[in-house]
Amino acid sequence: MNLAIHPSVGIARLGNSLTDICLSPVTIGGLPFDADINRNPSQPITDFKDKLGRIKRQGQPFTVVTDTGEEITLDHPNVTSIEWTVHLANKKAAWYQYSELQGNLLYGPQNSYQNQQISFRNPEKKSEHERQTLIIDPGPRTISGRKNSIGFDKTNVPAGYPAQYPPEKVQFGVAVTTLGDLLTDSSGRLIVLGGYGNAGGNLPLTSYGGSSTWHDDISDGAVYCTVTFTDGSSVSLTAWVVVGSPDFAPEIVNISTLSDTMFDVAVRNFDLVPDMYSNGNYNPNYQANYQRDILPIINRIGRYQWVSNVQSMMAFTSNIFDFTDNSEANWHNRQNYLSYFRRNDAQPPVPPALPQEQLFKENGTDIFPMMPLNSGSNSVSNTNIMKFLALDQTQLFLMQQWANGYFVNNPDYDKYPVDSSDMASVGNCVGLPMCPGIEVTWSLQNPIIYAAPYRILQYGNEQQYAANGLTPSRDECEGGGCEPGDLTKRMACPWQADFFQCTIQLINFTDPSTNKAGSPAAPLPPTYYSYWWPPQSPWDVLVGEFTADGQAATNVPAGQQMNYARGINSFTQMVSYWYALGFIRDINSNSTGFPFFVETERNNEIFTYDNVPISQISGNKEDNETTIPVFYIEEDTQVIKKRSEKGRLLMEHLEEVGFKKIEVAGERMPLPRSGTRNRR
Amino acid sequence: MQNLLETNVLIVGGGPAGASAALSLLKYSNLNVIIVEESDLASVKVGEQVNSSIFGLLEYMGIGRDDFTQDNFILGYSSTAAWGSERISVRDSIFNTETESFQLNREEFDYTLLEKVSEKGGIIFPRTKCLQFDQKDDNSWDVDLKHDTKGHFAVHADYLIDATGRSGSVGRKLGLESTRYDELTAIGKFLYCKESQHVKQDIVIESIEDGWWYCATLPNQKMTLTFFTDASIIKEKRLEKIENWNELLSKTTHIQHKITAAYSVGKPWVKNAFSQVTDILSRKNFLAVGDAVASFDPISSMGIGFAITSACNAAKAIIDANLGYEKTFTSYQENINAIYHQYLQTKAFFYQKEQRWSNSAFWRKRI
Repeated sequence: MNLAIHPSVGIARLGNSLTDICLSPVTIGGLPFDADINRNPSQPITDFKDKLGRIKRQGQPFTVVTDTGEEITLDHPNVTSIEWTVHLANKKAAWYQYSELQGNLLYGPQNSYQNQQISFRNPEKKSEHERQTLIIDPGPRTISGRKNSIGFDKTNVPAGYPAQYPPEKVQFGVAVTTLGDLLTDSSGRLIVLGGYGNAGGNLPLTSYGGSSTWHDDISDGAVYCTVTFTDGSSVSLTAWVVVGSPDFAPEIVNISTLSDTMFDVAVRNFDLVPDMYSNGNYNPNYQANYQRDILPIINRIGRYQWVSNVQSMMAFTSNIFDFTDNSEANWHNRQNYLSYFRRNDAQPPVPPALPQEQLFKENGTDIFPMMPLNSGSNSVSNTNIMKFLALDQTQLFLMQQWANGYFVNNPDYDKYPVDSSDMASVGNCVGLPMCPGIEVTWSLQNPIIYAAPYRILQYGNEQQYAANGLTPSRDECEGGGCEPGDLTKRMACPWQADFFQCTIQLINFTDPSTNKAGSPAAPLPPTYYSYWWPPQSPWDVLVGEFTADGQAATNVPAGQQMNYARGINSFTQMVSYWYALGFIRDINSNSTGFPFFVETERNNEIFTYDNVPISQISGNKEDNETTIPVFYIEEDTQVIKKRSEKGRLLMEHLEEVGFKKIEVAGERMPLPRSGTRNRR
Repeated sequence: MQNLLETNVLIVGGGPAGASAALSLLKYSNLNVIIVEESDLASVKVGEQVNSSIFGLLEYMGIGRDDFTQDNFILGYSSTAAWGSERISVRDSIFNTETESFQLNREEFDYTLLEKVSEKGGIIFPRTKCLQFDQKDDNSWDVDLKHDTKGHFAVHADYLIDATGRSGSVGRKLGLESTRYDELTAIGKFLYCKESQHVKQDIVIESIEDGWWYCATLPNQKMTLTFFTDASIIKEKRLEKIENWNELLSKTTHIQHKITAAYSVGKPWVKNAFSQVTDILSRKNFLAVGDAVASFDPISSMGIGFAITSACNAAKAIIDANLGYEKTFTSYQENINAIYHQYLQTKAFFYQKEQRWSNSAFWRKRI
């Protein structure tokens, strides 16, 4: 009997609720689940936030499954015990500054961090020993039995382990004191919970990569499991877990997910689907399946509209012809469609073939953006430019097979030889673009970090870690495998910095060799308004407040598309108020066919709004009649409380008295006239 | 018409002028009063200096000193100015206002007045906008209103009072003529100090070549810092840009020192501060009070006091007119004009004390 832990790479997510949790989705684009009293998934999540408006931490359940698909729990008659150990760590502060694609060894050894002279975060710490102190390494935690729990805080460090925690006092934000918790459910399954979204440091945040002195409570690390049977035998298994920021639109899927990335790596390097790819070549006769390989890509492009304004992608995915028709008569339609998909740049790119630097497909005087219309993995710096997004190689190959007519349209397709929960966990993460991304980054495109398809290769073991601690500057992309903290160490520190700044990029589309110019460097005009990963960090959302009282709080009618992060106007505010953002949810999900995604659960009470007349800027009274809604967080919270309490009570009292008079005097209120002064 | 409320007097604007007019009417007559206020009563207001004569006015409206909590009026608040010289002096010695002056907590003050109006039977609608004013043949008014969440309703009133402040938005909609004497504009920011910092409670005024700076401490570790200049100078120097605004701030000595420990966020806000007087006589059964009828340069510290006196006079004009006396509105306007004439002389007198930049665009036209 062969056993394995699934998912092979689990994804937990931060939340600031001290009381409530939810459990990770089990399908790509699925909702997380409410947890019942036994810590089992009960139903699709009802509320993403607790009663106090704080985001629930999303725990990742891990299960032990036989190769025939049978789950092994403590309830199994032949099982004596199941013991889980997880080692979470955060190496961000000890790693290099995020410098786009510099340091990515897929571009060759000359692109290593040293050769590119990339500086470390916290460069004043010089020696390896000093740099090791920058790692948040609480050591491993072990849990077994039913409904137990243990935290990654200081009080539970295993005896003798050289644990490291960041400073307890910070000037900005909140100091990190734990990386999360382990739970077991009523059947002895593991649930990994990440941190509370705390981040703190002493220097102001100025860039999307974060600043020195900062730490956050993102983490990743190894998951170990030992199953002991009644006959005395035992089996030891491993997996990995990554803690990401909240998925604010879980039902909207990235066009190229992290599952697509792992699939692409496995197909081209691990013989995952030999019929599709072997000996360095794709098989030109491979039969794609429309339902499995093509439709998801088209659907994801089409659903971008709910979190961004990319009208051309909507037009591109409407039913312009029968995508399922594999006949010769439809050949030209399919080939034409394929011609709009950008091809991949080489790594490093070799001029003059630079498909990812091309924005438009031109046809005579006609132009249309190439697909997907999204930023590539480096539209920021001038080294290793990759301006616009292309699907990964295997996705593009399957599109090619479809265009060439090598496909069937059969909903009962053969699944690829990957466990569905292994695909689902990482399938809800960003796969492209990686700049750096939000959960993990381009190191996951490198086959050298994998032991097998979808399985991370581990460097060292717990005995070594206990003796020496974790390594601060070893680059796992040179080989040998990953330590806890390696998958997330390249990400922004804190993650909120990237989350605040990176939803939109203005990308120059005329000069393939330049993203930015001038001093201070700015996107070289002309530019195109492009998105990074709106399914994880939405930008344009429909406000879903359908009550009059609610709308008084939002200052926006339902159905208006608004900026998602409105009111959060600085890095520091994102560090403090990320949890106030809404969740984008399909509120028509039980009716088949068409979704209706709206923003829900935004903490409106945190934000103040004003309708600012244009005249305030122009000084011209004539401009009084047009106003612009402005959202912000009142800085002095004391003032808010004092004023709003008294002012609000007085207002409510006066309105009550006044409208009682009207009720007595009149009939029902007529409906408001249409129209608004607010322009966006 | 649906949802129609009848009243004797409709007052547009719930600030000190509107509330004072309501209080006077409620005390000295049996007329019904409705106040319509556009805001939700939550906007930040900058405190003002008032002198002890305000207590006489409040008493006239039936409000005693006991009706206010202690922090409504802060006595002995220091007010200094560097005006006419680099040296800083006590402001009263320059502008010779009355001796005992108080710093008024405007938020508390405004709330207290509105509470009193409500207690005495006045009806107040916050978050309500006036959409349209129609005057009928008998000179009474039909006004269409819209509340933010409750929607449309209407009021029929015998008399209409504009208490909307400097915007004078009712008079403007009715097409009344105003005479404007300057284009003074305020461009300012709120500043914040950390809890731990001790901030001296005072007001500092300092003139520079392009206008004058005003910095006042507010409750809760807050300060307001405002530059008064001409709209044309704001436009020309692009003062709405924080770096340009800061550059002018760097020309001060005392103000700069005062704000070293404070921090601020965002772009400056811009507000009108021009001197203007409006002629209300072209409309019957209509009055404007406070800034809506006459607005003053803030250097004169006349805003609140005038708001209340003009409101009391307006209430008297309506009460008398209702009793059948004639020309009460005409004498109201004449009184306003006389006050304004006096004010213009006082204003010139103040500005003439600053002769250091007699060639600059700002000071030239004022001295």
